[in-house]
Amino acid sequence: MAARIDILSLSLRYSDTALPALDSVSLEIPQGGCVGIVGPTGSGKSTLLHTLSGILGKHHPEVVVSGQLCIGSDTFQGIPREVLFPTVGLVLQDPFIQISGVRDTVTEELRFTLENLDAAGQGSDQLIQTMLSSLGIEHLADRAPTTLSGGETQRVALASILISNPSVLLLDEPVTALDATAQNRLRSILKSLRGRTTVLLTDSQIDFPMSVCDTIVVLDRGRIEACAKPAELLLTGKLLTNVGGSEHWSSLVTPLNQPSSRRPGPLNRIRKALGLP
Amino acid sequence: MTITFHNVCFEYELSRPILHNLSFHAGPSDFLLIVGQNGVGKSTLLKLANGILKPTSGRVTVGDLDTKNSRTSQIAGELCVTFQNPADQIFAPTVAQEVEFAPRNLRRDNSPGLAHQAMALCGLDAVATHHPYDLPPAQRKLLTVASAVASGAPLLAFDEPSAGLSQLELIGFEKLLDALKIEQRGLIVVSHDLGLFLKYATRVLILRSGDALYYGPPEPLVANEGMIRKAGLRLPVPLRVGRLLRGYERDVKL
Repeated sequence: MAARIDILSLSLRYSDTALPALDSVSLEIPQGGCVGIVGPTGSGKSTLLHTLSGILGKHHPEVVVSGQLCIGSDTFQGIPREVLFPTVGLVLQDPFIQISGVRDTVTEELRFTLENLDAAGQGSDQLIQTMLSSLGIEHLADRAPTTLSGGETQRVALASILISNPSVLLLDEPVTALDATAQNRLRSILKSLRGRTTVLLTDSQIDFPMSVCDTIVVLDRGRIEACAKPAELLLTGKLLTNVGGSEHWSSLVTPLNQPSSRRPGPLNRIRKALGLP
Repeated sequence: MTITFHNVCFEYELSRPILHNLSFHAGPSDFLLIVGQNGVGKSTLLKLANGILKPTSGRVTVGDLDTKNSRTSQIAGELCVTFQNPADQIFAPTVAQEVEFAPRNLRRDNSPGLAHQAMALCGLDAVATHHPYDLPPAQRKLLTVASAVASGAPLLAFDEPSAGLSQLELIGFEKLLDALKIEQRGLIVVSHDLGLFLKYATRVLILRSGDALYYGPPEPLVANEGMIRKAGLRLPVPLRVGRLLRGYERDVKL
């Protein structure tokens, strides 16, 4: 069951630094929405996800945190004092850390998640099999998780959290090591979760979030610089210069931004397809 | 200085071949882009290139050195490889010491100069005294690249160097690629990031099922939609949109 997320004036500072990692972040995410958090290195993307997952919070000795976080109407309120799994599932940026390594095969790695939820039992084999297939890694079922390539490990890490079916799914740079086919699979999974799971994902590039998220948030030095629908944001310079738009994107945006009288027909069709006036 | 794979076969375990009869080469001023799906053997290929792994059959030569009977430290002087996961290689307590290790260990003339130059090129000057694990992952990635660049090796091989870099770092990274080009250093890059690297590549090697599905210049590849599909690749969105805009292709540069 998806949960609405309300973040109010969330600030977080690591105790060994003077500047805040998150600076009065306020954000409302509707139930079942999919939000992309983009921004330069050090802008606070991972810190935001770690705070929402409860890895960082009041209980953490190295951070000072204030503000208000609300997940669902009665699910969670306040600043986390502990990890919020299984309500919130977080896939870490480094998949090699995510993999527990306590199990000998990929299948057992996924079963480990189910066991931790007291959900392992009849039907788990089928559930695991389906999960692996949806990410295109059924052929890895009997492999040792520690012998996999970077992209394969990233997919197992995703599977190990997706199988827990959290209300809120947090993905920290989920596609950095994925090939195009695997990115398409993840895109399909995220689209199928729309309305059922509230998703926040970060990326240092804009291509993947642009293609799957319904809202994009631009973070810079811990502050929200912009928050809008992907296509709207694309046409503002911010996304391209500050975040991760390649020059390919720029070469499209310039003609798209021409006055309508000078715009050739195909560009009008693209604007329409992007939902722009 | 050229690296050559001569009919290389490799398997981690018996009868599970990873690479099969693979041949290619890369020399000075070359930019070989290696692409292929997850688990196809791209990272394995780089470990074969610098002699960490030895071919099951066939030969890998780096200049006059055959990796089968050369020490990895000898090969590292000619070809320096970065790993996909920075944590697999970073070991020094500061960024500067990490970068200085390779040139000093390889007894290069002017090793402090090489290290200094590499840190500047990778935008790491401001964090020279930091502990590598205090850096965000993107900068840690750049640190591994800086270490390779500082080695002074004429050939460099990077495993997914742009993964996780933001636009500001990518701008710096492209400057680094330009500088390496001027120095005529040969580059092998394993990446899924066609948007960034296609325009630098002099040749592209597509790995599929352990074999080269394509090995040649990038332009015919980009024009060959069937091949792109077969390889499971995805051209950058704007390049695809540009294609849809018949007559406007020239506006979207490769």
